[in-house]
Amino acid sequence: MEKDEFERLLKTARIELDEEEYSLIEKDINQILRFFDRLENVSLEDEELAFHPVEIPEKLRKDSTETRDGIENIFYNGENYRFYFLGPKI
Amino acid sequence: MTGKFLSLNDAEYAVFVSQLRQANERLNAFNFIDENKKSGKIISVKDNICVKGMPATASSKILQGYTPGFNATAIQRLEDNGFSVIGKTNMDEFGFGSFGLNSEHPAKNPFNEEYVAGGSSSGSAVATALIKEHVSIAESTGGSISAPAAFCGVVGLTPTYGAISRYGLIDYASSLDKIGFIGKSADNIREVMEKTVGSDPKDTTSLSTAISNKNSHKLYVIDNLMGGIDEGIKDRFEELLVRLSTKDYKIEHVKIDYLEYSVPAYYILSMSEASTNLAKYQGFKYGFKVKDFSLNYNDFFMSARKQFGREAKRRVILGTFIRSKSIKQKYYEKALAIRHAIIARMKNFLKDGFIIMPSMPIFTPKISEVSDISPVEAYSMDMLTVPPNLCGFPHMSFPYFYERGMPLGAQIITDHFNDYSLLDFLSEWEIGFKYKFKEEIG
Repeated sequence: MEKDEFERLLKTARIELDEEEYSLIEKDINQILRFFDRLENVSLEDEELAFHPVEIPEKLRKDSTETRDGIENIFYNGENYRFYFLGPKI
Repeated sequence: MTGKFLSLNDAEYAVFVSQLRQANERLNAFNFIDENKKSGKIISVKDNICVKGMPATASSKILQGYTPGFNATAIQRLEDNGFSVIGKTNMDEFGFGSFGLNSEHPAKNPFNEEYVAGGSSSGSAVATALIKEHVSIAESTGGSISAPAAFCGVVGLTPTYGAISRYGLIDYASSLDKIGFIGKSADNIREVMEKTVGSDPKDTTSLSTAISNKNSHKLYVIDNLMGGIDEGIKDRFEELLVRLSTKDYKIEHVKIDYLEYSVPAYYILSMSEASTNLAKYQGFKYGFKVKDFSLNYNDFFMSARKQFGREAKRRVILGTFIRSKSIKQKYYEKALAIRHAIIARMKNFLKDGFIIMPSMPIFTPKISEVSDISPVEAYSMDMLTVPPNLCGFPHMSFPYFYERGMPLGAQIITDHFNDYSLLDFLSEWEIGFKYKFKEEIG
């Protein structure tokens, strides 16, 4: 992976690295991608894709309101003001 | 069959907690120990599973200060059946590791503190070895139950994917995560499992399929998986097969295609899923808070995510890359196809027998021997635990030998929803096997 592509990726992932981490992780990522490239030799054209290891039947809930966690639980840990989370500007 | 669990009166509990705290100073098994007296059967819980009123950090600085106001479904079901949680166990951050070292205070092996405890459920395995009649509620994504169980001389059972609700589990990779158990008796693990399995309206991937125990005396050994295993481990494993054949087990050597691709396929899927699951940590809703609301959204978010450890950052970056539209087919879809191919091929054998293999390809390493290995070397150590985890097959690591004072574990795999056959196998194994522990409290 080229440096400018790595920089773009960091922005997309919203990860900021210090100098030491930058050089280590950039090197690691290239090694790991070479490890993943082993899959290039595998031919599996007709194979289905297993999104889950077992079949998960479709489950739909009734179209009705229900009470789940109380509002106190939802705001239990967040910075909040009058039942609104406090967050950054968008 | 009913298990036997530690249950203490008020005076005994105070002494027990004091002993546990002393042991924890050496072994770092727990991130949190509850001082409040317990009236039920004592269990511990991995720190990525929510217990109402107890901190849940998944050993990450980004979750420091997070205390859930609810129980995970598995924990609620256990509390409703007379179990009490003593505390939250140490782990690799978010489950990212095989040795327990991706934690600020890594857990140490209870047989020898210079050695790793294994990961990511490091603290659950140490707590189980340390506490009498104990079961710890753990979690596995790619081997996080089998690896520490093998290194710490205890039993680790990873159930079929979907058998136990993931509601209240701090996600790593949603198509791979499974809540499971680390214990030291078949009866104890069975009792805890019976109380937790079953569908849950709060987790749409949880299943109501009945768990069976179709037993078999046929054991398949996958020859093409044995290549990368330490010669000493292979020798001990051969001795285990001889012992099992004297107990009327029939051993058959087979080859299963595509298994050599299971580790890269697993890491591609797990990193992709982790990068989306960890996007929720933004610095204002859970745990670590960024207090500077004058920052714009991107700077706020990036500033919070500095709290991730190095392995978490590595996996989020790689997962984000793998999910990009232009290369999705090259990595992600290929990995899904490999998972499908391996499931079909393993099922061919699991329909009439178990698959058996060592749990780990190496003897328990010293902390100093693995603290500086490269990520690819570390990931490759999962070569035996990844196949059943990638495919959601129930599997169990059990101790079978002690060499130079350290335990060795073997892993047995069965078909989806046949989990109880693993415990029947263990009950039979326990007849001629004596677990060894350096110290036990309680």
